[in-house]
Amino acid sequence: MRNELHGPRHADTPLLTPLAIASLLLCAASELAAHHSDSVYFVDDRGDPRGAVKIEGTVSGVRLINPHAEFFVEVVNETGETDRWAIESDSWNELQSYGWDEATIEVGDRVEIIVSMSRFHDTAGRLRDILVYGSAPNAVSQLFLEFIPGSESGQWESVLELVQQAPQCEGTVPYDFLGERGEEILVCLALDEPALDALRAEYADRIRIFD
Amino acid sequence: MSPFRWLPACLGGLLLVPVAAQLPPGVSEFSGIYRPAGLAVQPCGYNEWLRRSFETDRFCLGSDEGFPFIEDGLAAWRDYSPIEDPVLRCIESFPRSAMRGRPLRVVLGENVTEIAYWFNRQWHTREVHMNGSPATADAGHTDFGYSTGHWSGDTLVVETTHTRGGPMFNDHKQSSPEARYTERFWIAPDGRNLLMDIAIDDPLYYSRPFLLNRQEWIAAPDRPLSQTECTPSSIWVEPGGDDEE
Repeated sequence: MRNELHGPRHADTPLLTPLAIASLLLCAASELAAHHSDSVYFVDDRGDPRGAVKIEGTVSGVRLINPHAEFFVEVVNETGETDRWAIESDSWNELQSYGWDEATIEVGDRVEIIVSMSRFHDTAGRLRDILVYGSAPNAVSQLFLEFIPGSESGQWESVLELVQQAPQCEGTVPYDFLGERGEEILVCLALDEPALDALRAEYADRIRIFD
Repeated sequence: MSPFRWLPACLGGLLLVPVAAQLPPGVSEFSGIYRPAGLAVQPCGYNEWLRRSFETDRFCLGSDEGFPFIEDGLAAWRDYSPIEDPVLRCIESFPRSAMRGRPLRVVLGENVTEIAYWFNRQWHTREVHMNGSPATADAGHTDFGYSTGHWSGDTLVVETTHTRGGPMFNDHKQSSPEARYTERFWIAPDGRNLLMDIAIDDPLYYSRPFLLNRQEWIAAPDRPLSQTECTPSSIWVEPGGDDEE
């Protein structure tokens, strides 16, 4: 369960400073290239029914490793049984550059996740978006949304609209959402309960995690 | 006090002085540490140096276009299960190790030249036998195979056999264990950087020899080396997962 040494977290917890993140990125530059090709292992297409599947559950395991961090989530399936989902993500180096720290996701956290399904397992997938609920009632939740800066693809329009109006997590490097086309990033947003409810109402039919 | 008290210090100092290799006359010494120009090394426009310099075999990840497959090679590619890929277990064997954007270290030698790739917090070193001695009859197949080297003018030519075969790229196009690779290393026109190409001759899988990769390596003697550790994926390697880290 939660390590109390980390104290209060989410919006109250300063994440990495821009300088630390810049240093991290410089040192890790040669490791940032994809370890393997997503499309070989996952249905890497949000337009495919298996490319953006929503699961909800409780985190039961975390591996903050390179080249791909892993999370395990207990999910109650349609028959009432519990499946253990394995979720692969970016490298721990990359996640830290997005503002993650050891307290971002911990065992016991309630989460909603959009995954691209594994081509080899029924309960495994690639992390796309994740909502990590605050640990107490009225606590701020963190929403990480996948986004490609500078992309001309229409699929990112709603995300762009949202990330430009919602508060980013404290300590994260300001993103250049309209800059040159770059690699996929996870934008971190800090949302209290009213803000989350408002976004659900506004984006339910446009951003999958708000369905 | 002994008049030779300075001797240990001097001898110790001598040990730190690199001994210049006895290279053939006219051959340039390019021992050093390099980093790849560009993060991605496969063609299809990712390799900046390739794009602006050379006409070469072009191929794209995921497509067999431009790849001179014969039937067995195509079948080996299509039948390969990606979750068997050694990189999921943090193993990078040749020729893939040379094409994944890792820092490169070359130590030229008279009898043995070393070519090493920095990955998972250590140098993974290939020995290149410069005296022409062939692999023994009972030589096994290893991650880096058996390499011999010679000089062709100012170019170091390395021939490699006895590799394990397996995926060469992230899309898992295969080489067979019988493949023979020819690498060439030479100094770039700027006199500082290194140029390299790798050709493969693998009659079990391909109809003709062809160029796998061309790459410029930037001299980077002082660049910090990543201390990132590679941890095998439990999702693919141990389905069900080990969640303790």
